[in-house]
Amino acid sequence: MHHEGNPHFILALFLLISCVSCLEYQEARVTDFEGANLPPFIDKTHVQPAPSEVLKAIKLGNNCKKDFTIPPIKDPNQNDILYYLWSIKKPNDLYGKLLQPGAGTIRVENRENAVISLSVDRQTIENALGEKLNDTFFEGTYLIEFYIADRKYIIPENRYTDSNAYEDYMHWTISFSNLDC
Amino acid sequence: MTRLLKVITLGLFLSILSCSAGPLPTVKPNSDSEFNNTSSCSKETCPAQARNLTSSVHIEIDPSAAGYLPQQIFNLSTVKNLPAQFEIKPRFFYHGTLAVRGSLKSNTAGVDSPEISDITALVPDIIAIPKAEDNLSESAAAILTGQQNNSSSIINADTGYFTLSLIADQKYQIVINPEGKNAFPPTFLQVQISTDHSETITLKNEGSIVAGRITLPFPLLLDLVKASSVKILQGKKLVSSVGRLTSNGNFSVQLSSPLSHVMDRNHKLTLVIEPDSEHNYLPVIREKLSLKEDELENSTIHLEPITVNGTNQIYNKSLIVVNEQGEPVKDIRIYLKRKLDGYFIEKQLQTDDKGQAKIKLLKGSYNLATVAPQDSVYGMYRNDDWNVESDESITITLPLRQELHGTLLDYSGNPVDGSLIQLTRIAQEDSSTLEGVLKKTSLRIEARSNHDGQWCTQSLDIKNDGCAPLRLDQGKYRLFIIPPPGGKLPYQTMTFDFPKNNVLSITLKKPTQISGRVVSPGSTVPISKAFIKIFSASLQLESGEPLLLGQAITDEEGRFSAFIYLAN
Repeated sequence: MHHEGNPHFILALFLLISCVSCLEYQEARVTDFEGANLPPFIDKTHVQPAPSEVLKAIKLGNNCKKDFTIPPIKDPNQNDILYYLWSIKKPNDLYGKLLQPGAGTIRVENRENAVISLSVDRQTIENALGEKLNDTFFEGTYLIEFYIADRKYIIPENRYTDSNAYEDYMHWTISFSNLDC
Repeated sequence: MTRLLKVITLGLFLSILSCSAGPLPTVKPNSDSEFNNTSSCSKETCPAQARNLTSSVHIEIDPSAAGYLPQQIFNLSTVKNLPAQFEIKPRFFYHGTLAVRGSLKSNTAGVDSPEISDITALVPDIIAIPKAEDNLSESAAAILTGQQNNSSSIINADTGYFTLSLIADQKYQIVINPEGKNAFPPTFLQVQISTDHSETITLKNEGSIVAGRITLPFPLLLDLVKASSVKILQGKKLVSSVGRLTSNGNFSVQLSSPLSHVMDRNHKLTLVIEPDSEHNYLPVIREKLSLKEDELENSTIHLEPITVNGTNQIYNKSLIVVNEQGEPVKDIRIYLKRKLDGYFIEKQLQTDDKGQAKIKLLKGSYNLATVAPQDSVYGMYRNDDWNVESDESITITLPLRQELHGTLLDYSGNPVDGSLIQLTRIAQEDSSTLEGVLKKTSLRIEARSNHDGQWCTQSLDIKNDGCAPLRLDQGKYRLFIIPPPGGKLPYQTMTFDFPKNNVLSITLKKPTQISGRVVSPGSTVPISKAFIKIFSASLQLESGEPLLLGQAITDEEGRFSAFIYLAN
């Protein structure tokens, strides 16, 4: 078939070449996964303090607090609202006690810059445990936990969500002291 | 065929042109246009660019994820044209070796000190505390001391060697044995390094000894005062060994040496004697020491005897806390305070499941206050003149707390969802002794705004979408609003009186955008994932904490933007 002089053929070829070259330069980009839910992801290498750091006992005396900070959470599903919780527990406990005001949400439009932080001081711990801290408390080791889910926690105390939810998690192993700052 | 080749060549040329102007931006480091990009908002909704700051702010950068040290603080009052570039400082190592000169026998009474054969028995801890630069405000000092990020070290028991990681050119105070353990005082060193540094530190036992005596007219209680610690503070800093009262009421502690390293003319030395036990009836004794510099050179300083008058009549008191229906209320904190010869006795109790708390008290008049947990419906009970003159138990009936209804709107008038609301009760200026107790023990109360902007308590009892209003005790409160993370709304704060103001509608101010870029030392290499906190340089909270204005994190190019409200 002879097409050289056919203007339709020339136009089609021109458009095809344009498209091919553009595709070659266009970076592959994930927009959303229709129908396929994927888990949110905590960038554990950039949390503060680093969990691998051997922390000295966190002081809970007068004027003391310690910030725990999480960098923006990644989630391939761009339209997911994210829900987070902070809790404290002893290493062998099944569920932790919720640390307030730790529970919150990250809106879709804020996800890229949402730094999540929790200031831990004496009141934060006492409110979670529901009692005044005594000498026995300061002898133990504890886990401070951070959970992030892509569905709402229906029962936050045991992190119950619906069956489609995905969750990521991290923790710090710490001890406390009763000293002032 | 030639015509076909021409078409292909033209097509390729045009397509490259069109694609190069397409979706891949060419990011140029240090480009102002990149920093100032606010194209995603309209003129009305765009935050103002902070090109000329009229209020000074401090920016705290934590680049530790990139291997640098945290708490790098910059002052923005001198930066006239944002965005600014923040070059963080490198870290260097301070290598120290502890040596002992002469005998290190403890000069502190009432405490058994270990035999000094192992240096770690003497010095269990070494820390380096960053000091605020001269061009920074008191607020910067509060930023540096507020968090527990001091560099610390483990000491080699055989060699006395330790190492500290320090920010270059940053002033530090190295404190050896900061808690005055083992009956030896802390040792202070001023350090500022710009390269790795090695030094041998000789520990001396040359600090002055401060000795004194407490006299009590109620000798029956002398045996109990042994459970009292004795120390000397400068401001909040311990500058002596920690001793104990002996059974005859004597004490002696040793001051740090050389004391010139810690002498701050703004803070006098304070002798503090405080009971360690609930059953010790000694008040907390705080005596300012007016020591002259030449007196500090003396080997022993003898203080005037401290006399505490009082009574030896002790009563067994039982306090029962109930609600208006007469039902017991558990987990209620009870604060007791009384003045005794210019000093204060303070006690704290908590009710059990039967709403009961028991204590032995000296005869006299006490300030009494109860505080319920933050999510409780019960309000504060207070009695400024509670007389203890028998073993009779008392019943306290708690009132109900009143409701605070709050709404939060953004600067366009839309409700703000997911904002954190923090309330802290602050003491009135003409505070009574009881106000002082409440200030010290004030509870932080927290809520979140819902989709209607209403403030809802953080109570764990509120599931799903329920919204219970806050319940507060009467008083003056500091309100602190922390908007949803990652958004473009500013942090905001104010004070209000409750229940005079029991309905609040807060509209967040239009924010100012502060942008910057964080780079590594001596280069333009960007530092990503550095946490940024912006504080007011001129305002501090009643608690002494710096006022946080906003937070951010740097992107892959080291850039950040924060949205803050600057009150002029």
